[in-house]
Amino acid sequence: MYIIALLIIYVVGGLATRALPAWSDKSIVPFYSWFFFVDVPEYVQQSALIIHEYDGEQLEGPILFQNALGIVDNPRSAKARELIQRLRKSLDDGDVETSRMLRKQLEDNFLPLCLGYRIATIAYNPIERWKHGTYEVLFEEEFNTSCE
Amino acid sequence: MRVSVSYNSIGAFLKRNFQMPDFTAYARQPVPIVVAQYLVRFFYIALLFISMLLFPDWWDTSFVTQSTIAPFWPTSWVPLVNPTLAVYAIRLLFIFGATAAAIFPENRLARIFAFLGLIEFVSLYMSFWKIDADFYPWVAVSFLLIFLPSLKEVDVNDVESKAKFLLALWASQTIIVLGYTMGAVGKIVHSIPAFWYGQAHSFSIDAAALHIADRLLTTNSTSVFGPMVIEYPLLGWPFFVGAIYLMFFAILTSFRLPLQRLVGIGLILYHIAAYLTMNIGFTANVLLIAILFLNSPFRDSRISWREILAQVPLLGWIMK
Repeated sequence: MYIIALLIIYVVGGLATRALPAWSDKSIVPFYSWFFFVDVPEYVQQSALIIHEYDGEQLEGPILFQNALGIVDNPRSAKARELIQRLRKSLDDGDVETSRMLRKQLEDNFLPLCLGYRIATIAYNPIERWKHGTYEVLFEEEFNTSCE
Repeated sequence: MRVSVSYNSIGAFLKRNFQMPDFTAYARQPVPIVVAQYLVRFFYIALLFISMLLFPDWWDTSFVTQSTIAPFWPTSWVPLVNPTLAVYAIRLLFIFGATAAAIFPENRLARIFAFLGLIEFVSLYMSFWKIDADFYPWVAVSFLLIFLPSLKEVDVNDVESKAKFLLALWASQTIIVLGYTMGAVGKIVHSIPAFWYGQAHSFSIDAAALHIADRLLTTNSTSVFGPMVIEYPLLGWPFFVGAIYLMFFAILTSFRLPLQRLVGIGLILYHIAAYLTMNIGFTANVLLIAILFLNSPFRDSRISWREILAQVPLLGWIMK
């Protein structure tokens, strides 16, 4: 019967993930990821890191982090995406201490020296952006990594 | 009178669709328990393979020691000690725990170490590399299998222990399909307000195309069939709706055991489709489903395909 009890506890725990904040993607590592992809992304607002300057040179056009192979070492890092998302949220919340900590983690682990970048919220329709590359920048704040 | 009839109807519905299998009856048969023991052994053999497969050159621990990232809770102790030794300890615990359980699956202590090694490694991996929900069912099943009764010295007539063994394996299967069903429930529930407000929802023609495009853009990747579905959304629609149907009813396989193999095949094909369109691998989950569902101990080869299809929700009703 304790196995049945464990199953019931597991179900209750999984349902409880609905109470988690939206930014947490409703998952509990390493047990629950029941509610991935429940919303269809018709109009997406997503946190993004946009690079506009590198090594003292302004780039011809801003580049999204995930497209910046050659400037950053691991543009497809899921951990970097997570940090960008959390940093955007802490900036929105005005949480200075958390923002500072997350910026340090991001810059120490994923960004090169002498980088000018913006933490932004971009909005797009995925199919339109896939076909035409278009997105809208809603909010952004500018930062720079150290050159030393 | 009306209320009484409703309660009777609900009770009859639940009894018809969610009746627990008779594990004692299965335990009295010679084959199920043998198959179940082999599946448990295969699980730990696969776990051993995984423990060696991931990051075979992961002895450079700078990704941890030079990181300021706070790890997830099972590995929250890592920054408090020597991180290099902590990483080595976790890796060795995982490898040797899985080895012990693969060699001695009947030993509970070995299974406990296998679970501890797995949960620590998975947490370390997700803390410093990437979130990979692929391993969540492995953690859950590994935990449940700790509670297997030992059959090493059991009397061949110990039906009770055999029934408990089969129950634990059934619970492992159930915990896997439960995740899929809840995922489908989430999609269906979220579709209702989206439909009401005229927004895209999981049953929209372009739902699959939107999911695929967003995923490929976010990860800056491409896939074999993803671009085609984005260009022609109607191609993906029947498969997406079919996947929701498959996942929604997946939990029924725990109560309609003849469906286990069919649903297992369906879920594997679903993950293959997700890989070929969204570039989401879920390879570990495919392996786990293959181990536990393709040759389930509850499989009865005497049941015909027609009888199996008659138990498929909606389809079985049409066939009657």
